Amino acid sequence: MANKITILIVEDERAISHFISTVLTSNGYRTIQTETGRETLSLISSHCPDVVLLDLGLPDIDGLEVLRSVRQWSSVPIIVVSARGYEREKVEALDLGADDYITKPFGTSELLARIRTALRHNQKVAGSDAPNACFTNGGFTIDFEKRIVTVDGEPVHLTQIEYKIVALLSRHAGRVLTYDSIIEQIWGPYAADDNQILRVNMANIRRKIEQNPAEPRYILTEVGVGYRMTDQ
Amino acid sequence: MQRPNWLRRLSQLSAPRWLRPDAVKTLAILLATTLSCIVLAAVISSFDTVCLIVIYILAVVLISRFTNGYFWGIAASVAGVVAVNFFFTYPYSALDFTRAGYPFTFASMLLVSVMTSAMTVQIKQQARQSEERERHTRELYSISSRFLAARGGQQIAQAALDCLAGLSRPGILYGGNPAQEDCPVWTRGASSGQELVLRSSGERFAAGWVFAHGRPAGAGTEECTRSAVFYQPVCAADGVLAVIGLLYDDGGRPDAEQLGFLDSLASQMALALERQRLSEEQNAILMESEREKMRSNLLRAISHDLRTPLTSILGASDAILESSGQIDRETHDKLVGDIREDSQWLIRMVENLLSVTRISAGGTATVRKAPEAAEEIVAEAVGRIKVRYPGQPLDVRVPDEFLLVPMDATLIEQVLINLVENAILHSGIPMGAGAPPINVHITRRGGDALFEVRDYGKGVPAGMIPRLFEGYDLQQARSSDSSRGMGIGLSICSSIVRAHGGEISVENPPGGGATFRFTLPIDEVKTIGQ
Repeated sequence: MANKITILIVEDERAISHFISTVLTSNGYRTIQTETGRETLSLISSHCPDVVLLDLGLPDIDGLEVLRSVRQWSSVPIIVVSARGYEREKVEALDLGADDYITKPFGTSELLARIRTALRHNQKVAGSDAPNACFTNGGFTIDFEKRIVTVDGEPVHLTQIEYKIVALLSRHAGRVLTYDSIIEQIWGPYAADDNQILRVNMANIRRKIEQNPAEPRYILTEVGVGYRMTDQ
Repeated sequence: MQRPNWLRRLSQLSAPRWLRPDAVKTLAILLATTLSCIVLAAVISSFDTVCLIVIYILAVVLISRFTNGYFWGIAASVAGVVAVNFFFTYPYSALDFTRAGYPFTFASMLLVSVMTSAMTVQIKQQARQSEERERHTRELYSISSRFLAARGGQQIAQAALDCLAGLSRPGILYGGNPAQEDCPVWTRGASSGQELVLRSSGERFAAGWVFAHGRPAGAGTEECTRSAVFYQPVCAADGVLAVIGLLYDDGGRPDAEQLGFLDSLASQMALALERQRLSEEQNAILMESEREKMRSNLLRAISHDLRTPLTSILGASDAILESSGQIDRETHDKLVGDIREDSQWLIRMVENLLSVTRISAGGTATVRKAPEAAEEIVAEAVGRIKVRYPGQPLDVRVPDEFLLVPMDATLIEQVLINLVENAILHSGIPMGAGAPPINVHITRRGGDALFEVRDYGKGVPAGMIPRLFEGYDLQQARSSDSSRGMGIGLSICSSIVRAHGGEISVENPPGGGATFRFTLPIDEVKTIGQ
């Protein structure tokens, strides 16, 4: 019992909270449920959950506020639950340090996948400092030491910037990186506030590594938010 | 009576132009009268003074009729009296007004002549005035009929300029406050030099003054005297609507006729503009009520559409809860599957409704656009469809060129999802691995991005095509459950695309199936080629 992974569900809709809890319990997780932002803070410090599922629309405190105060003292993986159409909110949450987001309405498989990704990242960070020398995702492979990208065994020629973007997304595979965070890490903090150059580079990358740029398998676009390298 | 030659020459030299023919006419008639009287008096013995006087009065009437003003008639009256006295009364060939009774006769003759002359002139003037009035009415009529045919501000302005052209002077028209930069300006009949004068900042200032004060100014007036243009404001009940200007760069001044013409032009134009505004207001009200009708239709259709899946969800969940253990595994799964399917349908419905609020929140069916990569939007839409319909083969193609299209990404994604879903559900082709794929093709066509969704099913019934995007009339929504929500989905697509300034259409292409296509305008400046 004690070694079960604990997940804190912060959700004011009891029905949703209940269904998430049922799904997670039947998948071998332990769950704690709360409906308020205030309780969230004390529950995180007392129970040390492995993952937090945080709904942004809470009755007492704004979900983003909760996120901000938790991030001041804890690096627990937080997955934000948000509705479709609130892209700005998602970007803000990610920039405030949320690990990922999931859009309502979501299916159970999607939820479980996100939780697995969040847990894996946390372990990776906790486990070893040295990042993996290689990242493989289906037919896509990137060798960080040799700086070589291959798709289905064929080497792909990327420009310096393109390689940097692909490498960055691969290191955070499974997670969404916002436009701004990618631009800041590739072009530096003083880059123009315009994400057009990033989009053009992404379009070029897609044409090099995807079979059909309209049906990407490796790098997905989260419209209005950023890009995500898929993770299998 | 005959004027000496030198006098006539003098009068020719010094008199204004209009005087010359009148003097000749007067002299000619008087001469003819005098000669005929002399002949008549010589031939007919009973010819007496009364006849003479009547003939002279006739001459005076004729002179008054054929000359301008009172002067010649009265002059002829006096000349006639003198001539009768000189030629036909004793002592002949001498003037003598002193004989008994004569002063009275001559005075009467003079009075009658003068009065007749005056009356004739007056009648003539009245005729001329009424002629002028008629011309003015005709002018007004032609102006107003031009304005009547004009629809919209642009056409009204054109009509006004056409009327101005009748004055054969370069004209200018400000369709608003000239002091504002974006005020529309038209000129007519101006050479390039005159164009420069008309559009100079000084003239613009004068026009602005006229707009602000609502009274004429410029050339030939007391205000803005340095201006070479006469400006006439177009005033309506609630202020000045436009300013008309006529160029007098040759130092001329507008005459009374032109002033009158401009005045009536301005008032007719004000009427036309007022009428235009009223009809626009009426249209807005009509549109508002149309929108209101649409909204209530939508609500009705939705309430109906929502009730069906909700009833099924409620029923299925009741069945599971109340007969715990009684129903077999297969039935249980079937019921839960139904609940799931209906919930998914409800979620799609709600997403569509959210799209509608996203459009109408702006009030005027506009959307907040941001440049988005077309391929990314398509990829996300296709991704969502694949989650919902895993077995459905899709053929997705985007151009090699990187297309950056201004749009509201969420809405366009919704359009693509609706169209593909519509193709999946209504093409009549069973879903499966062997089924022909649904094409989702993006191409560039001129300044537009063209999105095409094609299926190879039974096509759209020809009778439905014209009304397909008009939406959910209640009948259609009620007709069959299999097509529930379809009408709403397509009409939402249509509103979204139109709010983006694009066009949506459907056709049954050769080779079977149906092609839905819509365009989105591309902002050229922001397109980056590879």
